[in-house]
Amino acid sequence: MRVHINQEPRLIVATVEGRFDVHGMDQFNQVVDLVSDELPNVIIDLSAVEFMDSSALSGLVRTLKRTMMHHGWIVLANASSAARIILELTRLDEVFGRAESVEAARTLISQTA
Amino acid sequence: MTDNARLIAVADLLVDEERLIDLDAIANAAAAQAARLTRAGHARVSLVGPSGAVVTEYPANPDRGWAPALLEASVSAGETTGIVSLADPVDGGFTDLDAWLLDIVARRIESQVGGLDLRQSEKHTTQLMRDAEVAGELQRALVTADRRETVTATAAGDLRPACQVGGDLFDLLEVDGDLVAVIADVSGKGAPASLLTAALLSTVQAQVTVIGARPAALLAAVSSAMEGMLHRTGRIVTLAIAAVDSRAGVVRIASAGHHPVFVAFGGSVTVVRPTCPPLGVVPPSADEHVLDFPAGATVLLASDGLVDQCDPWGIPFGMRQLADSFAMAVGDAPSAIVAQLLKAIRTHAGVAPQDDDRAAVVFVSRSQS
Repeated sequence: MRVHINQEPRLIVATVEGRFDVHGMDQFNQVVDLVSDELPNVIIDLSAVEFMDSSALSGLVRTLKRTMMHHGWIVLANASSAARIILELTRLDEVFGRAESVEAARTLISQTA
Repeated sequence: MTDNARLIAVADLLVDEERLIDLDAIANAAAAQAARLTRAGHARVSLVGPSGAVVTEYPANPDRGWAPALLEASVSAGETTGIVSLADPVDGGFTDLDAWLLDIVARRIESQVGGLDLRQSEKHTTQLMRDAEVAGELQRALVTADRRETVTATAAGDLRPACQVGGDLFDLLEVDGDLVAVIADVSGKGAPASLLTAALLSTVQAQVTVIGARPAALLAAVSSAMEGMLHRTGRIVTLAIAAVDSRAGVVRIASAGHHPVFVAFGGSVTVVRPTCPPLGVVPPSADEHVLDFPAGATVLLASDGLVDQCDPWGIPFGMRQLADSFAMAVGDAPSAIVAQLLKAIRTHAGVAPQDDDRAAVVFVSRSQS
């Protein structure tokens, strides 16, 4: 698994590639650790995710809670079919903001932030 | 023993905090050590051996002559573990024989330290394995029952963690003569997940005695009881509860984000989806699925470890195959159905390692006379 992180004004954009599972959580936790008053909003690009397990879901939930603590938002962008299936199967798709692209996610955040 | 030097062998085992890595640091420490050993209180050090040759002097600006020293680093598993010193030759400088002798001593120390490390490591590993075995036995013993027969249902369950202990759990409980089947998956694997699993199981068992066979109410109560723990640990839990209501002839199902429940009857399989997201995210909804539960109807609760198991080519077992395997096994006893499903997963996996914990519960409605 690889996680690419870009920081923008008040926004973290993280792209997750490969198997998003328990073995990659150390990398993903870098995203969670970055969330702060200065960087309260997060976009997670899931377009290149091949698989997600419960550890990945709990990582997303931790990010959600962290953004809420800092009065920010998290949006899941362009979820791959593998990511979409697990999110819908667990009904976590009802909890996160969703967008078809990173750009659409940026728009969503700017409208709600 | 050389006849022109006193052998002063000092092997200081350098523990993690003080392990010296670079040659300069080794040489400086060795020179300071040698200086303490010599009558003159000064040393010029030539560090020889597998690390290469470094010359350093201690202290930097002596006001008297130098007392020579010869030192060698002993190395274990690629790390410097000590320094062996020859100092203060009786007559003249050091010879090749001294250097050869020092090398032998350093190599002996290396093998002793290496052997000691290995024995300690083996002992530690054996203890960890034993602890894991006992933890696995305890985790299985926490389950109330893995077989249960009530007036209206027969049930069986099984659990196969990927490690000795894991984050999946199941239980078969009875309330007023009716079956309550529970299955859950704590995020993560191994010992960390198993700690939360134990807390979750005892919470469920306690709440069933208070609330009874009401799945949605049970979910809410468990969610409330576990909220703080899940928040502090950053974990989520998927939890499905199925309760037989024999008076109404139905089975009630509430599920917080858990893998779909399958209900088989009359040759078809109904897929029952979760009623709310996993616990540890938002409070669960009060929804319940209510399905007819006629004689012969068979219910499967399974963890995602069954469908996510990949074969050696990376192809997962999948929900469709699980549903088909379940449908083919319906009609057998619940314990046999569980065994067949777990065997099907193992066959699919082949030589691929077990990816995740596996748990399965099956119960069937008994004919009413």
